[in-house]
Amino acid sequence: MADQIKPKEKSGKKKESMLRITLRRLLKNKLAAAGFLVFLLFVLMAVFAPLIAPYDYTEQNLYQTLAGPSAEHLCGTDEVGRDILSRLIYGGRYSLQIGVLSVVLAAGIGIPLGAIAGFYGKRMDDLLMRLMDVFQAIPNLMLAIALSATLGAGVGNCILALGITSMPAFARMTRASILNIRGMEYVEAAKSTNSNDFHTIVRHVLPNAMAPLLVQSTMNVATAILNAAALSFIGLGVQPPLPEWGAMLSIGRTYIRDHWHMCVFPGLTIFLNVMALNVFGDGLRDALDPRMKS
Amino acid sequence: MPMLEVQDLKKYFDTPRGKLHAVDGISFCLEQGKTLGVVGESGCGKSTLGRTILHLTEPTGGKIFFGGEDVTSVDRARLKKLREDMQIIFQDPFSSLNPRMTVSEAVTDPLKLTNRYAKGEMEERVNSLMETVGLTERLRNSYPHELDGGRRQRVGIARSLALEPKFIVCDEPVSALDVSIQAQILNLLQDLQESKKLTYLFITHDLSVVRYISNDICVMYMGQMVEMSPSKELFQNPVHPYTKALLSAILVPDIHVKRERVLLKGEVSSPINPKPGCRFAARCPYACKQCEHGQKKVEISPGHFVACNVVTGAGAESL
Repeated sequence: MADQIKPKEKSGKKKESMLRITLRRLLKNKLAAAGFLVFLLFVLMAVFAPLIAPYDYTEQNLYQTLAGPSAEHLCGTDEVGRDILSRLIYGGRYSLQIGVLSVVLAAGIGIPLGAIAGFYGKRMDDLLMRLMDVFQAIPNLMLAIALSATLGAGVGNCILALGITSMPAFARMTRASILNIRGMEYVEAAKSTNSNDFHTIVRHVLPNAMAPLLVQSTMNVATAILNAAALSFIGLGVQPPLPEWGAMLSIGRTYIRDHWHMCVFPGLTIFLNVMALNVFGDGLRDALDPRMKS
Repeated sequence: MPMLEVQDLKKYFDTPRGKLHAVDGISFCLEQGKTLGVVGESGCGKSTLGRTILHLTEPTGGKIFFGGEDVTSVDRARLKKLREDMQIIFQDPFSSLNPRMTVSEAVTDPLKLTNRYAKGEMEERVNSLMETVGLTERLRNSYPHELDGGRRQRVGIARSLALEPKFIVCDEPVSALDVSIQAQILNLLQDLQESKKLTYLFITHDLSVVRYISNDICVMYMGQMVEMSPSKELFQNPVHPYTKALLSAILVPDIHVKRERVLLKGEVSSPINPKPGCRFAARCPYACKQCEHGQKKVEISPGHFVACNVVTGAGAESL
């Protein structure tokens, strides 16, 4: 068996796909792999919440409000006696969804816009970037508040509002890296071999602009989770009784003097996620760079 | 019929301070299978000349004929065909290859953009191209950063050859390489020229290289041709003061040879809105009053053109 595989590898004919190379390198980087695992764990916890959570997230126990951590309630209970651990497990469903989807939305719109602006330059650049200026002239959170106020509260609208808010950052970043890359000779070489603009952007320009964008994406997930918390706090994001990490943190703030556990556990959850995503993002950037030694 | 004919080609760039005359009235004919060397100092418009012929930038004026057909302004469909016939090899093999594409991907990319090859044929074609330029098959899946400069340049050459062009602009293809590798690449280019009947426009600032590879040489100064002649003739009998100064700068590997070194004073004047008259006059040791009126291209012997009133025209006695 081993003999059959060996010659194949030697000839080097079978090309290892980019995805596999990236994955292999990513797993070599212990820190990044740990980050990935932690994040994956939270995702799985959110998906299988009903199986894992010891209580329902709405289940109140008015005899045990604001109880500290105990064997019965590992992370304690909140002001109406709901199990905080259960709420955190369920909360991932909303927090992670908002964090990831809003970034997908922001990147999905921002990257193409930035690519077009950067690649074509001149009028197109002016037009698109002034449009982005309009968005960026309003402080991020204010814009998110205004949008969710207009659209109405709820998870979907929260994603929309946060996505639109962070879209200009992606557009700007993409544009900046593309301005560098479009002057490279390999872009001109592509043009001289009849590559159309779409092919040039997708095959030659964007792959070389991705590194900072990926890192930006992972960190933006973290920011989005925090901003979603802010929206929930003023009553525009996720509506109670749905558990959302940010919202839980904000409520806990009121009780921080006497009941530390209400703040610490949601805070710790957010912190762990943000940190995991950041190390994962850093590792991903390195793994995606073919110049790094493998 | 010449393979490529360029008539009074002009390329001006708009800058905030005025029009930059990058290429200003260049004319030449190039037969199939021959090489025209274009020499001149940095910023004299050599590269712009090559890129304008390839329609990587659009010409401001003049005419380009390719195989007898006027290709000065062409529509998309024609340009697509034309680009398969005309290719470019770049100077810097470090920036002319996409860092995220393996060797075979880089060479396959042009093939994917034409409908000429079926999927199965592409791999074969890539293999034969790699063999043609002297790359071993084991490098197929290497990334550019894993290769040395010479190998990278071979990848660039393979990519240019992918579409089977007839005419290639070599934009300083060896000036970024070590001297030992320069010779290898030059030999490769010459072998390819012979086997595939390629026509080259060879841009360089290295006179010893241009002498080795060119049939004719065109000397450029600030976007204009100052002298053009068969290669041998130019080195034996340079006429234009600028050419003389250039040639005197070549190092001779013999310490006993004492040559007169022509040193030029001053800097290249600005190519933005240049004054009428000879552009070299400000630095020319023989400049006189008549140089203010511009210069005429004169054929002083068959195929040897010089654009200098002092050495060709009425002012010759002042030499």
